[in-house]
Amino acid sequence: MKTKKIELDVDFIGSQPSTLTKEEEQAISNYILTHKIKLLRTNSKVKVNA
Amino acid sequence: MKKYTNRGIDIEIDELTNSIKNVFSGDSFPTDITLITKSDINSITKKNDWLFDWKLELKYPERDVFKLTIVNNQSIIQGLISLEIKSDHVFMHLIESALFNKGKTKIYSGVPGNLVAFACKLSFQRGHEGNVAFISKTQLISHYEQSLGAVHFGNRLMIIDTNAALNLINKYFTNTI
Repeated sequence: MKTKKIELDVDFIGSQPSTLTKEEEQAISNYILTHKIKLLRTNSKVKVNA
Repeated sequence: MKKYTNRGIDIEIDELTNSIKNVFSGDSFPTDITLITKSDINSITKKNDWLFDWKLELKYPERDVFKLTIVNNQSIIQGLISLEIKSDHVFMHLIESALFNKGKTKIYSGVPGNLVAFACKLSFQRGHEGNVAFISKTQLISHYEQSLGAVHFGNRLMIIDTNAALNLINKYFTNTI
């Protein structure tokens, strides 16, 4: 299957200073944890059904 | 008070190629990603047309700055990335392509994608399951979703999770994982 390539005019610009707030740090950790739990639940369901 | 209205990585992932590609000839070149050296520091300045103050990044001991070069041509920096290893992910602070790789007249395509894939690889190596987080500019969120498989989860926070990271690594580091 052919994958769709995204063609863009490229202009690489970032920003400084690059710092995360405590809330943002927490949000990232929460996302990772929630995602892990979801994956574990999905995997255990698959095992039970197998 | 500092304003943060311009926060967010503002790059466009132009092409997910296996290596960086010369736009004019179409030739692909294998790349190396290594920590910048003392001799690099003097060349990656605003005076030399780098947008960011990369020396400032080096003042944060928790961050590492890596350069992307073509194999056997380490003196010419194609792009730079600033990364921080957090407790459960890698945070991507900055990415910048060299001036000659920016815009419509760029020489090589695939530089930022290559650097992002490297961040994903590093995340696996550090036991963070490929998770790479970054802040995106609002107008580029959907672009990162499409080009990187990144997930947007509030404000401008985005994450490349395990599956998306694996996809990127398979594109760029086919023989190394």
